[in-house]
Amino acid sequence: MRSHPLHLQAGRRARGVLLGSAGLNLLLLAAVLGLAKIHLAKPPPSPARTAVGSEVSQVPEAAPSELDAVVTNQLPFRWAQLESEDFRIYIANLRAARCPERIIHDLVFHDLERLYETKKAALPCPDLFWESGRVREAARQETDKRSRQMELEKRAVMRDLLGVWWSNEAWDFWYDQGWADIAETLVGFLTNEQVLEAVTVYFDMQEASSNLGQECELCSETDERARQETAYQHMVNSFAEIMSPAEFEEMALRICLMDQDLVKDSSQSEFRFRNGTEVRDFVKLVNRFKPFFSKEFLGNQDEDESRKAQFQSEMKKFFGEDRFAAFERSQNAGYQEIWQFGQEQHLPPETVLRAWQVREAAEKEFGHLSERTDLLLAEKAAAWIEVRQQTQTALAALLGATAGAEYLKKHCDWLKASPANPGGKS
Amino acid sequence: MNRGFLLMASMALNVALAGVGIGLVKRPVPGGPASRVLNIVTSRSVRVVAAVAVTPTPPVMLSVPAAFDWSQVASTNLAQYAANLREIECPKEIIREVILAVVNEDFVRRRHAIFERIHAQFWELMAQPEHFKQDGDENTEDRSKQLRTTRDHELEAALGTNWQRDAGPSPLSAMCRCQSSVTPPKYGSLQIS
Repeated sequence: MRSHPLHLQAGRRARGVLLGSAGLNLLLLAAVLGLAKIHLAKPPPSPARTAVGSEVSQVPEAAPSELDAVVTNQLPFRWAQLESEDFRIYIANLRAARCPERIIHDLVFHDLERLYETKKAALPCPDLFWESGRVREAARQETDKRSRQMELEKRAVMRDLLGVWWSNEAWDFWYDQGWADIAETLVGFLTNEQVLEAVTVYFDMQEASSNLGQECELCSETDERARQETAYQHMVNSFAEIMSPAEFEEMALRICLMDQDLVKDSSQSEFRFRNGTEVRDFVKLVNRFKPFFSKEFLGNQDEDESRKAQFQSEMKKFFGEDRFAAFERSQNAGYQEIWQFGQEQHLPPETVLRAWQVREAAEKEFGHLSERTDLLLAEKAAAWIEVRQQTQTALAALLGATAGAEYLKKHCDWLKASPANPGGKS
Repeated sequence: MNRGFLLMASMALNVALAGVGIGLVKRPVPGGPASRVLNIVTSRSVRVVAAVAVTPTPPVMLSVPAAFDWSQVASTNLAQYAANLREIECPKEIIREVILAVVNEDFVRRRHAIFERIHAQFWELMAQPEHFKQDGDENTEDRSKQLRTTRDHELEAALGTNWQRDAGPSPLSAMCRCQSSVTPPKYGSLQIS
């Protein structure tokens, strides 16, 4: 048998080691490539900044263990987070933060004021100094009209947003003017919002009344009256929309009472209402004939005679003959003066009444003398002096030496008047 | 000799590949939990879920605005109220309007209280108008005037002496217009005092 040489055996072993090493090379290379593939792959997308609100809230609820891994970093709250270009969102944000409704009303009101101030400032306001007065006046009226439209638009927006509305003028009046105390007395039983709305209507009424005066310079009397009555009815309806019928009646009666100056204190008159119910019932009667604010709105226009007579008759029926006479006297400034004097001098009411009757008689006589055309001027003057002297004598006798002298000295300007001579002979 | 060289080269390659493999195993996977940073800012309430949280990972940082309730700024001390509003960067004119609303609400309530007796007995007082003018030691008009002065001092204390001047064109300008153009109605001898 033939034996292999030794170097051939060693060569075979080295070849086996080389093959094993090459195999390991391949295995290691595959493993490295696999790992490299994992590391070179694209990373998953990171959460976007726009993923807010509803998009994020759609994520299904996580297990508690998952949420434990989230740490919140609270950013400090800033006012800007409440604000919005949209008024409705702004209001909703304020309400969600439990901002008091009263503050929300004022914030929105002031915001709207600023907004509309800017809009009004942007209105064209041409100088037109080269134009005639008529053209300039027409331009001014047009600007006023637009400004008024904006004011109404602003209130409509406020009403739509908040359910309440008022003008800047009313707001300033109610919070800053001393004479708001009068409004407090007249409409203080209403809510604050109702008062602001009622005061707004009052200022609108004043403006409308003034505008009517300007617009009706060339109107006929009938046309002017019709316009005034329409505007007055519009104002009444505006008030009625703000409050309940009972509140409206109460407000109307209180205003009528003050407007017509129906009550006098004891230093001015001996007339006394029996109680509050009588005052209110009487004002109800007056308000039927002379409705509240009608004096301010419609002016002191002469009523027709039949209506006047009906009013007098109803008042007489209400008070009775004697009390009605006392009430009528109490409304007379001359009587108030003599009554006040009587109070100061501690004169009995009967004496004051007789002194008043002396004055009434003298004034009636002076009236007759003024109208007489059959007398010469000198004759009229002599008759006038005679009436004056008789009156002075009567008053001195009635009031007593001291009080009489005092009265004639301080309260007799009416007696010193000279006779008018419109149609007398010269 | 040629076979020996190949064997040496193969073994060296094995060592190198093993080194690279170990390095890759130790290196963190990109986009893995350790590198995630979440920073969402929103004014609305947001529910956030960690995407991968199987193994313990560092916590996710979430920046959200603090919830706000008006009670956090409201105060019975007006200066403090204004300061709290300034703290949340509330604009100056809004601070003024909030304080004004608070003060005016109180003013109207107190003025109403002064006129309480008149409201309760309005018509009875009208039957005896001389009683209408009397109101204990102080008359109604003086008390109301005093209340307005107190209110003005409160506003100055909270907003500074120049609060009206700083107010801008509205509502102060309108207030001036109002004062100059509107005159109180005349109600004869019946004075509210």
